[in-house]
Amino acid sequence: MKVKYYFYILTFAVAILYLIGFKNKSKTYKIFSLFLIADVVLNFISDELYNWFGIYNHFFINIIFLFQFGFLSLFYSYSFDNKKWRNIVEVLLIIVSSYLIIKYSIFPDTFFILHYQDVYLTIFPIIVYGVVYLYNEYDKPQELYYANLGILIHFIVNFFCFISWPLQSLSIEYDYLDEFNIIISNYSRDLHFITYIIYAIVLLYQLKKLKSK
Amino acid sequence: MEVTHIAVDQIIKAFLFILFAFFSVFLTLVLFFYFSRKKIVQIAVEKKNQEIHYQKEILQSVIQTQEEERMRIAQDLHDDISSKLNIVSLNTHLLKTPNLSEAEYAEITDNIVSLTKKALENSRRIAHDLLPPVFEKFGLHAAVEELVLEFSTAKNVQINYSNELDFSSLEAKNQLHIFRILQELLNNSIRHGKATVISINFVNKTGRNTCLYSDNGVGFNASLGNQKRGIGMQNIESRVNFLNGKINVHSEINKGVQIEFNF
Ligand SMILES: Nc1ncnc2c1ncn2[C@@H]1O[C@H](COP(=O)(O)OP(=O)(O)OP(=O)(O)O)[C@@H](O)[C@H]1O
Ligand SMILES: [Mg+2]
Repeated sequence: MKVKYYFYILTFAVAILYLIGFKNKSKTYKIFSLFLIADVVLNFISDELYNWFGIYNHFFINIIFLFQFGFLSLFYSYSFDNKKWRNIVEVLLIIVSSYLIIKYSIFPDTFFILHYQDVYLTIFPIIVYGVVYLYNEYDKPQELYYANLGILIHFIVNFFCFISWPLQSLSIEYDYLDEFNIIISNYSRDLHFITYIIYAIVLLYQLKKLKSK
Repeated sequence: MEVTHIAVDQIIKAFLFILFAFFSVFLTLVLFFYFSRKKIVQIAVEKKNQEIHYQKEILQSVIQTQEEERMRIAQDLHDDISSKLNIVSLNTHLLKTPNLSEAEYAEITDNIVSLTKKALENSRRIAHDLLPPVFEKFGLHAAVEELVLEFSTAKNVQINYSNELDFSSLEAKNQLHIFRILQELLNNSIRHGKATVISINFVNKTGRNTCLYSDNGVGFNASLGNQKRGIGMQNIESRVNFLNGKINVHSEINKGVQIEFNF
């Protein structure tokens, strides 16, 4: 079995643990645990698309980004007490998602390419929200403080991995970049795995904290 | 040739974008640290202000109790001593009146004797109230025993007192603090709680000298916190503060009062 499957099993198990006892939890917790499980499933499908149907997953990654952005925007907008931030989250959610959907429907071919502008639009706001969430901890203990920390680390790493993707994909066409490409993609894969482990550990720690309360 | 040109172009663009992304994340984090610092400083300032406010409160309550105590002493002196001495003075003037019969003379002197005796007794009691003499001579344990005895004979309540501590190493002024705390607690239990059974236990709890106090009175809502606190409780708190201890007041309506403080 390939290494990556272990990571899927790990994150899937974590997501299931979050779903246990989900009913009598807060709204933010519910959104978050739904996000976790859906995220694992979608990522898995995206990874296997080529194996199953022989199609490239670029369009699916665009879907995942939209999904992540939507779900986490909801999560943060429910988490923030400050009305100003809630409004910012909601307005950005509407603007960015409608921009992307309109763009994809007018220029369908853009849907099948990974654009770094799109990556930026869907991930960078989440990083900002995560930082704001951290900051809010000063005013009042936040329910999912550690989970948010995990999200933040995960997303910052993802951000750079995906944003450097066009650079990697260029080299497919130009031989002299091949070596560079291999180095970059190896590094980014290792980094990915390491952050996945950290992410899972932080999420588990959060669960333990919530349980002991 | 052209192909490489496009490639270089694209690579530069991609690089610039990565740089831009990096810069955005960097800026976000810098802003976060900047605002965090500000917030931390602000929280520290608030905490300091609260402390100052608390100290002011203590000072105020000290001054207020001092005034009240003065008033009480003034009242006691006025009611119990001055009034008696007044009558003594009147009576002595009466002695000056000519042609007093033997019987009248005897009555007046008797009066004077009994009044001076009462005034003496009262002045003793007032002084005693201020600082029980047994305290000076025999220390806290004996003073508490006497206090318990006084209360249980005068106020019709049963007080169970036990002590497994040795107070001799405790500074005299700290012993007095503890004594005053118990005085106020007993007063409260009887005045507000209408308690009939009270227990006072000095124990050693995990290495700290601890006093466990409880009554079976009407209790009060301790969770209301500071808002319903009178001076009595506030003074207790500051005394415990002076003792470097912690106090824990637990009470519910109709469940009596349980208080624990260490020193
Ligand atoms: N043992 C008790 N049983 C019932 N209620 C109590 C008891 N001790 C305190 N309380 C309640 O807490 C309040 C505050 O008590 P505290 O001793 O601070 O003030 P006080 O006795 O009203 O006035 P002061 O002690 O300044 O003369 C009281 O008014 C009373 O309602
Ligand atoms: Mg009182």
